[in-house]
Amino acid sequence: MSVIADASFTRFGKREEGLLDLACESASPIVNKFADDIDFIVVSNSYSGEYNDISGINNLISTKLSLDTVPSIRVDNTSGSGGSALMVADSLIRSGSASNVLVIGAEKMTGYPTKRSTRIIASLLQPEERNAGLSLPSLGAFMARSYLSEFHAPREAIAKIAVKNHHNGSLNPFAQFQSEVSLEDVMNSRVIADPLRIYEYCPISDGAVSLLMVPEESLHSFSGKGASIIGTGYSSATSSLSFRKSLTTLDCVRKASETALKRGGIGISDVSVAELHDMTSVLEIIESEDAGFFRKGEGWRAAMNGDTQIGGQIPINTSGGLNSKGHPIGASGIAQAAEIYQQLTGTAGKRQVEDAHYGFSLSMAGFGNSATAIVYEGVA
Amino acid sequence: MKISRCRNCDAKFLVGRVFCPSCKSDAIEMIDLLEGKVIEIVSLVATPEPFPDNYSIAMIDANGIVLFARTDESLKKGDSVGITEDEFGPICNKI
Ligand SMILES: [Zn+2]
Repeated sequence: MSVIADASFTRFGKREEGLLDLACESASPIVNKFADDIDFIVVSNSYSGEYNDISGINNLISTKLSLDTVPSIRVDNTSGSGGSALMVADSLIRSGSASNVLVIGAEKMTGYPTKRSTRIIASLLQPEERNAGLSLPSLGAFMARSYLSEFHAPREAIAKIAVKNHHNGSLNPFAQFQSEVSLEDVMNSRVIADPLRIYEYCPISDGAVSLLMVPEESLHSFSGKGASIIGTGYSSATSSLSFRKSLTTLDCVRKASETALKRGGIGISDVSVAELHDMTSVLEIIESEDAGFFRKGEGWRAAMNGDTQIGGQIPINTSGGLNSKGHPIGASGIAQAAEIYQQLTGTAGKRQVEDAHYGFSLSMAGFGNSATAIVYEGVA
Repeated sequence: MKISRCRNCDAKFLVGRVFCPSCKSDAIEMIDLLEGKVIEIVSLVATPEPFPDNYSIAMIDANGIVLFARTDESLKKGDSVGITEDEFGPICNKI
């Protein structure tokens, strides 16, 4: 089994530094301590070509860290790059191909007009659907409309996700947004794709996160405590939106979650803390159902009741989520794992969930094109 | 606009494929799709390049095939629409 033995963040947001500098800023504290032990580097990044005019980023980073000869690869799976990179790192360790893997998630996306960014992200859609003028935010709006009418949910239930996640972000020193918003603020904010509003979407972000992953048996020679990856599940769904049977369920999330829990040998009710892929508010509700935390059509009630806030039945997105922490695409899935690491090692500060023992993360690519679910156990 | 049709099993689908998703035949042809009914409509404020700054997107059911098309009209669920193409892609109008 592989264990996350260390984690290190940059602040997310609009950053002056370039992509390589951000990646190195997040990795440096780990490299400082463990340079001689690292024998593989996995870089999670999706858009260095489109945003930063950089290719082969993994080797550029390893040289800047003076780990020139350490083998490295870049994993690109759009928004789900982080989950895929963790799966690769875990596989390298479990197969014995590598021992101590430095995982770096990094993206730099600010600096272009929003219209250009929207185009870059929409390039993951099939051309026959993209050419209708679809954007990822507009798909969230279709999903919200379908969910509200299918389950007779009040509009406020979706907005409550943004209120909760901004509150959690206000407790996270690495979050892009560190101020709370009220339900009124959310409901009165600017419409982006009707009915969803700007506070309900993740911002465009720069940022990086690094993790050290090691075999469980050698954890004692590193930090001594960590988050053990006890189960991973990966699933793909059709990338053609018109080919999907429902807009209110994400098949890949359902299947990946089921597999990860089965491999981890735990039930969803054993999970103490979860990070989901809330690119927009409604996605968190739908994923919370598809992962199995709530029955289909009931996730909105949990959001209304506060069941998913810190101190609730199952705290979701204690980090602030993509919604408030920010969504530097390649970094997001790694940041989820880093949040779970902090929660399970009791180092999550003001966001700490009491007695957190099992964690869950869900990293999603495209708009439900694929998902990686990971189940973690705190070990010491 | 054009969609794909399998000559072996008559399956119809929007996104072009090498093999039919139902029977795996590679005998795929393009056919015309001219109208459908609006299932859902979303108006966008933030749009991607190279599209205009404001438009709505209709999700359309055309005899069981779901597809998307831009529109500048204020359409409602259930409206019947004709589908054509402009320089960007599919566009629909109430009929
Ligand atoms: Zn066929």
